[in-house]
Amino acid sequence: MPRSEEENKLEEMAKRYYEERFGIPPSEFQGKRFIRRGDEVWAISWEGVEIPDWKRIQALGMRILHIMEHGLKPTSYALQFFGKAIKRSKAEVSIEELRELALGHNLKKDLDCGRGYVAIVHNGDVFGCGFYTGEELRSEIPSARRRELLEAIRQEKEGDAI
Amino acid sequence: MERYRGIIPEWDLFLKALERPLPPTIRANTIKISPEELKYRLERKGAEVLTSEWCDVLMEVHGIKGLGNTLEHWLGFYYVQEASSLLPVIALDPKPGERILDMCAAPGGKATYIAAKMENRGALVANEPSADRIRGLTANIYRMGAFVAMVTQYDGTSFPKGMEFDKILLDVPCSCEGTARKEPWLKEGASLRYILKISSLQRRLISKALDLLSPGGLLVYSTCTFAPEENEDVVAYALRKRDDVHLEEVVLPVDCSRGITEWNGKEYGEDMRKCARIYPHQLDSGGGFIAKIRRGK
Repeated sequence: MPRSEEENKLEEMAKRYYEERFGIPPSEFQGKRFIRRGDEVWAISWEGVEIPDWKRIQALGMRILHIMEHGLKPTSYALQFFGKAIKRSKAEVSIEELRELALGHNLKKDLDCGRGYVAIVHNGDVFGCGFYTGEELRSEIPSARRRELLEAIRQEKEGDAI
Repeated sequence: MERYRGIIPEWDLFLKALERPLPPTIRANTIKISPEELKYRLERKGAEVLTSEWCDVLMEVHGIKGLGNTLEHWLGFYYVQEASSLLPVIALDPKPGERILDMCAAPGGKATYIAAKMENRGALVANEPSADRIRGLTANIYRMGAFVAMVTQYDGTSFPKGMEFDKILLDVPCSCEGTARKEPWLKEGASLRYILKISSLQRRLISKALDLLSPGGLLVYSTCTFAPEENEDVVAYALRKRDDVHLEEVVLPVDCSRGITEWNGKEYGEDMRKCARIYPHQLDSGGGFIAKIRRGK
């Protein structure tokens, strides 16, 4: 299917952002199409199929970027998905620190990346998006997901086994 | 359930099976993790993990007190799912690059399994009419990383034109008698009044689904109930209504029974034996029904 100029620009913007900030190779986005809806960029792995002009589409693959006044913001789901491909702007945290972030608390951190969005990582797994001020780290994981995460951390700390 | 005594084989074993709790099973999400790595991670937590003999992504997990509450679940490495719920997708046999519709998709266990079998490539539409249930569906699609899925919110009976599908999964709303092991009030069986009411919706859905199928395309019709009015009767209705569709044999990797050829004086014909009936004493899971309908002579 021929792509519109806008789609090509979105693709270029998304790939460049994830490569520059997180070191994710553009090839990780192979086969995906990029669609803007309001201030959100979605990526869907529909190749060779025209996307129908339906009124009640609730999700187009995954939301991968928010277009903010100050620039672009990655989504937690996208960072989780590309987890192992993320090479930089990573904030490694302990399980206790992950809990603090999920509670909405800021953490004092000395990271080797500049101010901006980071991937929150625990034990090699990417849990989502955080923001690093240069001194402090805060969670940008959506609140409903944070509540579920707190419950999972509680179970993890208690020990899963009966 | 008493009214099924004549059609369910080994009736006493069936009744006994309804009394047993369901085994705790999960499906590894191969979009994000291999079954081997997931097994290793869960075992490291002290769990006992038994991989199914007939499906390498299906695992029985003992020793985890809340399977829906682990970090691995939160990360989308698995879906808590009954074995019987995998079977309609196995019958559908999704392939990368295909155009597939899951017409009644919430909460997303089957849709995300379809996405995994498509290796996240092609075109999957996961539809759900209910606003409440669509939230859970999208959350599961995001959690599992199903980039191939578009989520739509349409009443299935008025699903829009604009796309033809190679394959459609129609896992209809039903009386859910096959879930009696986890919903004990269903052990008595659903009310006939409700069964007849829901079967009317099922007929409208199957008619619409066949309209959306491309020539040569495959429809898998499934329920989680034993009521013939919602199973063979609905399939027979679709076959009567159209002259361009036919049944194909449902071949499953588990023990199951065949579709019935008559019920309450209604004759469905020998062809209905190509459908599969899933019973909890044959497969240690929930119950249900699966039919494969091909569009084309």
